[in-house]
Amino acid sequence: MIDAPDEELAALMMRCARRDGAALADLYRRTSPMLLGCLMRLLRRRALAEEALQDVFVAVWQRAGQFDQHRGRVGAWLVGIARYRAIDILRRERLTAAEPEALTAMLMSDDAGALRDREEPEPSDGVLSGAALDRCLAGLTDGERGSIELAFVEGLTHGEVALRLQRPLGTVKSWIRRGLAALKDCLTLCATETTS
Amino acid sequence: MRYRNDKLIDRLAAEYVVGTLRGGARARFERLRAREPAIAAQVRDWEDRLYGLTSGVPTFAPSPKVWPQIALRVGIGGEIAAQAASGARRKRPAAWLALAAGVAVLAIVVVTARYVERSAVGAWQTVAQVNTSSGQALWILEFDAQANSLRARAVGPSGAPDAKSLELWALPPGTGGTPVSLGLLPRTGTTSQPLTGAQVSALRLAQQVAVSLEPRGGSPTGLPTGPVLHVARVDLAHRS
Repeated sequence: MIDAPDEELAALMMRCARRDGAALADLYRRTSPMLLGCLMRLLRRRALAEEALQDVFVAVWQRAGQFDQHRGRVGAWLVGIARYRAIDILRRERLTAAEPEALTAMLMSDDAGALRDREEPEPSDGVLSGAALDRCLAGLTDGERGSIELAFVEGLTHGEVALRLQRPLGTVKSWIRRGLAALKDCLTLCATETTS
Repeated sequence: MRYRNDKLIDRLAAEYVVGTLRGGARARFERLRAREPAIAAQVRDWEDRLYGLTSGVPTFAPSPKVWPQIALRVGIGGEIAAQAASGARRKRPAAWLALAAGVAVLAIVVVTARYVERSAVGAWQTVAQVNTSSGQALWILEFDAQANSLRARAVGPSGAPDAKSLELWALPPGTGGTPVSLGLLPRTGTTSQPLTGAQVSALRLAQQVAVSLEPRGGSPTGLPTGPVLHVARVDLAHRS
């Protein structure tokens, strides 16, 4: 997640909508290392990831006027733009994902595991905070959680996830579908609890 | 209609955001999303729900060359470089940072005002980026207004035959007038060369530059003789 208060990013977005180039420069300074991190995980090659990063900020500048800041966090929107661009590039480049062993190891340990093993979350600052997501992810089965993470963070297709986890395609598809549905229910419940 | 089913749309939105909706289905959903604000809103909700999944992803500092190219593509290169050239004091940190980025100082480091002021003098200012028709960058052209020097950096394969040279031209604004040669472009690496007074004036007046394919060593006539391969927009902060 982007290490900057979302209200400040929202203010920069409003200035971008008014065609303030300095605001785009500031937004770039504050968010590009995180977005490049996401792009590197998806695209694996620096040249491709930096090409995508350029496209992302050109798109941000073009769409700033339509950005609705009352619908979700700026960071989530930026990550979305970056990920969709990367998925397009993956399709274009027909990149084959890196060695399965390395990625399975990654899933089992540090990076993905950090989501589950993190210490007690900070008190929630919003209905859809990272803490709520952690809590809801913990409620999923390992298969559901692992498949969703592989698809979202690594950009794998259903087939690639199945190959990686050595499970039938149908199983992986239903893990992802059921996992997403369960996440939504759980997060909606968390939101109701915080607001009531 | 196939998509008039809230549950199905929500599922598609989720799979779109998570990235497992691919191929034709993905393209169809993107068109639907562009048309229907309600669907776009469902996508935003899913993006927000899954945003936290990125918290374990390590950050990467982009190379310094990325920002100037973005600034050029969105057309704010000139504006930000103009702030650099004016040397006026800035109050807002954002403006200082934009300034730093504009003169291609590392965008990531926080620079002190003094440093930026000094670096703005004699700095290379990006004036044009020459792309292929498909958008791949071939050369970045930078101008140093203090030294009246032009620098060309090859950033992509020119694809031109070895027996030929690639020549850069400043195109006169409007109709009439003749192109002025700004020298030959490198196939790889970077070249910089001092410009004559006439070349500087031509560059300052030009809205566009062009690249033509010429006999080795450049045009024998002083005007383009071969095909024009590329044209690029000139974005020069201070034209006078």
